Amino acid sequence: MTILEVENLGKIYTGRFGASQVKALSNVSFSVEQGEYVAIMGESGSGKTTLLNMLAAFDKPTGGRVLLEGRDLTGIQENELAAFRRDSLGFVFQDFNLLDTFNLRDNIFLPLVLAGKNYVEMSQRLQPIAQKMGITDVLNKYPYEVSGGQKQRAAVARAVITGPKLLLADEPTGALDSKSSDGLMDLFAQLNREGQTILMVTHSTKAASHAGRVIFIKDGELFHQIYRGEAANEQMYQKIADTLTLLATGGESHEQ
Amino acid sequence: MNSKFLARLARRNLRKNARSYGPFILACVLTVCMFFIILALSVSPSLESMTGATTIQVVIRYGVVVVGLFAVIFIFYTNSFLIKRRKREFGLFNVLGLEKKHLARVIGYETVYVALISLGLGLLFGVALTKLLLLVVAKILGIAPPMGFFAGPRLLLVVIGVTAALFGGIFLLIFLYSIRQVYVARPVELLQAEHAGEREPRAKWLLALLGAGCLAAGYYIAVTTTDVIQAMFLFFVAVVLVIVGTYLLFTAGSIALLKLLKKNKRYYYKTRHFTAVSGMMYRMKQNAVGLANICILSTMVLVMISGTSCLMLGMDRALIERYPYDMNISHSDEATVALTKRAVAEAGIVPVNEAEYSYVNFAAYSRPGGLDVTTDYTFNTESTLCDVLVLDLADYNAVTGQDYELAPGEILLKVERMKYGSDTLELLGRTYTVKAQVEDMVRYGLMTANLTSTCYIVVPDREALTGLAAAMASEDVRSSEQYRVDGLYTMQRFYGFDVAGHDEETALNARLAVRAAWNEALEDESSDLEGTYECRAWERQDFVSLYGSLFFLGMFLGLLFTMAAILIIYYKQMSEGRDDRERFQIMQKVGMSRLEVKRTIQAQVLIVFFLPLVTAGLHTGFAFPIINRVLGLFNLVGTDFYLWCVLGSFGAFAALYAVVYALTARTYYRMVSM
Repeated sequence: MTILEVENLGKIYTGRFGASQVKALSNVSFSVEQGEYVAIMGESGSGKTTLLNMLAAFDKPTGGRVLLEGRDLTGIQENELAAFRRDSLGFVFQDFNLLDTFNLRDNIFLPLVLAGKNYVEMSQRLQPIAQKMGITDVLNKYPYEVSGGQKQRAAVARAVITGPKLLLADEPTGALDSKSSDGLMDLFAQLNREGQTILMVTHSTKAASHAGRVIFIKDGELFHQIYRGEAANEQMYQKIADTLTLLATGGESHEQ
Repeated sequence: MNSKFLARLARRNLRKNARSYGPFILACVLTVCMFFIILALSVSPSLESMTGATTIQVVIRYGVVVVGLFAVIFIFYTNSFLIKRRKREFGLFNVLGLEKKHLARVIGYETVYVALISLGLGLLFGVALTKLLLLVVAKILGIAPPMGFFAGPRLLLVVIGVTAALFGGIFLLIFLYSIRQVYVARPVELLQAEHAGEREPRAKWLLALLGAGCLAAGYYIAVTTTDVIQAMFLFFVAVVLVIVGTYLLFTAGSIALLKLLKKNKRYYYKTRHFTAVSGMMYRMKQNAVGLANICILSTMVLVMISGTSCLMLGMDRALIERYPYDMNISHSDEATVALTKRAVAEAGIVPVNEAEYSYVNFAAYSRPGGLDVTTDYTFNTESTLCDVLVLDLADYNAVTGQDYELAPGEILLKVERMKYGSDTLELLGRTYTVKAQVEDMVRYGLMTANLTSTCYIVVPDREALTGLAAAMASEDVRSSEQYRVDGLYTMQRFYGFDVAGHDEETALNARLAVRAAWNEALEDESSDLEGTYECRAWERQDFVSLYGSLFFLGMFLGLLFTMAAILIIYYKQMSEGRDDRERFQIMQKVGMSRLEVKRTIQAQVLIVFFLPLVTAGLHTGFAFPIINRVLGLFNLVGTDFYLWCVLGSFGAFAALYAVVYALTARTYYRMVSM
């Protein structure tokens, strides 16, 4: 089943007084199946983050549309948007975006509290997730008291506790050391095995090598994509590295 | 490094930080201006020449000290707040290669610019407004406005010099503080300074309880103190307790309360409470002291303005209470009435509304069933101290125009500020029957303006009255264990009259005539003339200069403190806006709608803004009874009147506060939603 469809998505930023126009995305189309694990790669300024902002409905496209389970995101009213985001999407950010005024438990509860769930239900939902994330012992600590890896795992817990249809991650390993990064990627792989659909934007070849499919973006356009197939992580890594070299040297895409 | 460049950098910094430095400079200008004005008034020769000027200048000199102290604390506090916010900027300059000594010079230039603008504009407005204020003072005191400028050029230079020296000193002080902040910190620390200390505060239960205890004790004293003399002293104890209580409750109490709310899971995990409780916790951690400052300042403004305006506006009422007639004469010798009347008539003054009566006046303890005359002031909860005035029926009927009749042993009674329920009254070993408790009574200033309970007794005839006075004076009574009376209580005669139309000049002339006649009589060695004469118009001048100058000072300081409170609030909100922006962005990302964000912000800003105002209102409310009693010392009675003054002051202050809230909230939304 197709969970996400991106059709001819385009975004043009217009400077003040319309003096200058910057094309951030043009004519991007792809779709994500239920249970897929997709990584989006590209250089800085290639339009990755713009794409993610569009998928999360943080920003409105200037062309094309995004369908989540067949529903057009661009058509959702402002006042419904927050609830929609809360129920259907989970977010993991590079800089964690945990609130320093809450301990980890309350940070994870935040979307549920906003959705008006009661405390008993929230606790029941939290328990298995916290265990999976390995943060049961630090739930009462505050963000400034725990390591980066723990912060990011708490952020993942916050993203998945609502049972979102799609988990969106923006450079989730960007602020982590390599050991924490590996741990996080194993966690993503586990979540994906359990059926979670994941879409991750990343710079890191190693992070992307865990994904089932990698989409490459260059200068706002879809450049190439590769599927894992039966390949192991190491082989996938090699394939990605080759593609990135091709991307950097400016070659044209041939493989499909 | 080129000092021209550093100077330009300093100017650029001030322009770039206009949003925070603008209000600061404005506040400095106002403070300089107000200090200049009050200093100028305190030494102004044109004020010195006014009537009653000594009282005014004593009060105003006291004001100079208060404004001076306030200026030091206020400017220093505000500056330290600004510097704290700019640490990051300084760190950046440091990293970019500006040495600390250069940074110190930049700050030096900035301080000089701020000082020059503040002193320049402040003195300019000060000089311009002093004459106006002088006219206002003259108007308040009801005297002819002084001619010419307030001072000669030499005195003007002295006042300018003192003002410049004080504020020069203050600016030097804040400069030293600022560069110290830069010197002790390392660049990395400077860069991170703003993000330090985001720790959840701990609940300090002991301090919270202590705060609640202090506040309760302060309130208890304010409400229960009935003894006026005690009230004067205890008022300060209560003020200190309430201030300490306010600080403790705002800092420790608020956090303890929020912790308690947080512990209650069913309450805490609700959409509305979740962000509010944790947000408030951090707000209170960072702002509790500032909010307590605002609260104390607001209370001071309210008490000061309501108290002094009550004195000023209620002055004429108080005068009539204290001096019921235009001329009030009391003496021990009835022959003096004739002397006084003759003197008044000779001066060509026609007395109207005359009243004359003989009386005995003494203090006694009232108990159910009687009055105990004693000077043995051992504390007794059963009885209340009251001031007693006894007169005879003939004088009573003549003065009040009533037509009562009394049999021997019967009396008429009127009590004020107390209740007397018995049908009989025992006094000095005799029991009288109370025939009636009456409404109308003779007017006697010391009784009507009294703060303790008062009791008027009308006995059937002059014989009974002299008998009572004799009893008071008798050795039996004076030496008895039971009475222990000190001093002689002789019978006095009161003579009061008004002049036509209460004309002040005529009244003053009447006073002069009486004084001349009495002095002449005193020259005769054999005369045993003993008494007092009080002229309302004459006393009024004292009242006006005291109350008028208190009123002026109250308004003046009220304005100054209001400005300080407003500025502190403004800065609080601005600094919070920046932290909140990040927080609310994250919340929006995880699924909070813009409307919810806006509502949450609104609720929190509202609480932070109005918590000090509501607390200040509460403080003022509890201070009401004690201040009411202290005001009584100024011959001011009439609770309802003071109540209107308090409500009026609170209303005006709250309105001003709300305007500032609206302005600040708008800037705040713009910052957060940017």
